[in-house]
Amino acid sequence: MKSKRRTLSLATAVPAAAAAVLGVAPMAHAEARESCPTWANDCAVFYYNSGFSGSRTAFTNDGVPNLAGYTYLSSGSGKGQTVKNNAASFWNASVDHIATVFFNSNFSGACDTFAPLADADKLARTYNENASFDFNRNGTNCYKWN
Amino acid sequence: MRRSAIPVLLLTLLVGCAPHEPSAGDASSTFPSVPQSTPSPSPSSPASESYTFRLPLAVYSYSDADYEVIRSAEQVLARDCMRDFGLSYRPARNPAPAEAQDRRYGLTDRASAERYGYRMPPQPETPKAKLTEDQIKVLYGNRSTPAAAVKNSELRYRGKKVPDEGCLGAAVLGFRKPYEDEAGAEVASRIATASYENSQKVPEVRAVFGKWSSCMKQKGYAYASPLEAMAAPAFVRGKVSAVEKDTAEADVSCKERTRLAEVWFAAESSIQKDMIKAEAGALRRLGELHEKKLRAARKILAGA
Repeated sequence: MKSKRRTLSLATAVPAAAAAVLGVAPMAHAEARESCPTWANDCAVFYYNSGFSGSRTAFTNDGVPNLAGYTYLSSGSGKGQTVKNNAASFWNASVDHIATVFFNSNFSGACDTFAPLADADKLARTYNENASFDFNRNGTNCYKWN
Repeated sequence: MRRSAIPVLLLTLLVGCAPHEPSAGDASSTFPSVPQSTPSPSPSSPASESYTFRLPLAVYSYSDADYEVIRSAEQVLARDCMRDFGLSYRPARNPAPAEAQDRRYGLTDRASAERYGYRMPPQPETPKAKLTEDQIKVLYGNRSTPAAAVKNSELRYRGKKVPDEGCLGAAVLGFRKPYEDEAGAEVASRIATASYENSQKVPEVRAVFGKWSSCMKQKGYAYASPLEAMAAPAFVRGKVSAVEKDTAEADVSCKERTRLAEVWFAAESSIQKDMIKAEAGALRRLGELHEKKLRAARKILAGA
């Protein structure tokens, strides 16, 4: 099972405030990290490459209405590149809650909701337009494929 | 008392739901038994129009109600797994959604515009199940402790090996596996995003964006498209201002006047129909697996 390849190893947290240095201050209390911390129930991971490879950024605590300003954090191909509109795979590492990825900023546009622990190892090419995401949003009228 | 771990009334209602029956009232009718603990702005208003679940592709997607059925079944499996460790488990209930929203074509909900501008309505607080340390350890497995502490060591409880992903993770992953269709999900997701993107290039849609933009200009706002307004930095971060609320209201008014959402919906529907035809086999398989999983979930609930 491919989820085994993904680890929930403890990693240094990079506070969202660090992203603000780039000129964008994400408003939510989301935290961007290299990996999902084991104590957090909600965690969403964007990968630079397909198949959950390359550099990744894990978000915890809250959704992000505009992923601009966040970059790929872990070592690997794509590190330092922007996360917004630039993800090739995605994993909802939350076991309790759904996570929804939106094509546009501010939780709008085409969107896919991922069940707990569900993933997409190859996001559709057009889905490189990941602009915002949120946890546990029921009633958003987003498609649910898995 | 273990039976009461699952909200029985809720399940009874959910199990009776038709699995793939997209309707505008879907989300609001999904959680009839859950008390409204959060501000729910005019739930009877027709504001919560659904476009996404009226598009042709929607028949291949799970609905919110389907997800609740599956989630409830997973909770039963997790509870049984916990029981094998001599532990009880009462899962927390999902809160009712604050308000159904379909923001595929931007903001179309007047009540929401008046109240929240372009922001999503606040989320209802999710009640946390009160769990003991032992319960947490077995329910969440290796996820419950810092990874360094459990590296290269099996997590055990009373001498018995705990699943790596815990009872809950094992329930979710184990129940998904027989019905998983990554290829089908990928096809469906690709169509849903491509139809959305391509529909914005259709002449009728471009024309209605122009009309909407003129309408907005008359009201004193300069935006080329509803998506541009929605993504305006001032409307994404910071606090909601009076200007934002006014802009959002004007946006909804102009959408209504120009019938923007309807025009866009018609264009995207037509694009989806062609794309669905080209991928009929993969989508049919995806839909069948969804049905099978739902049947299995209902069976688990019936036996719980």
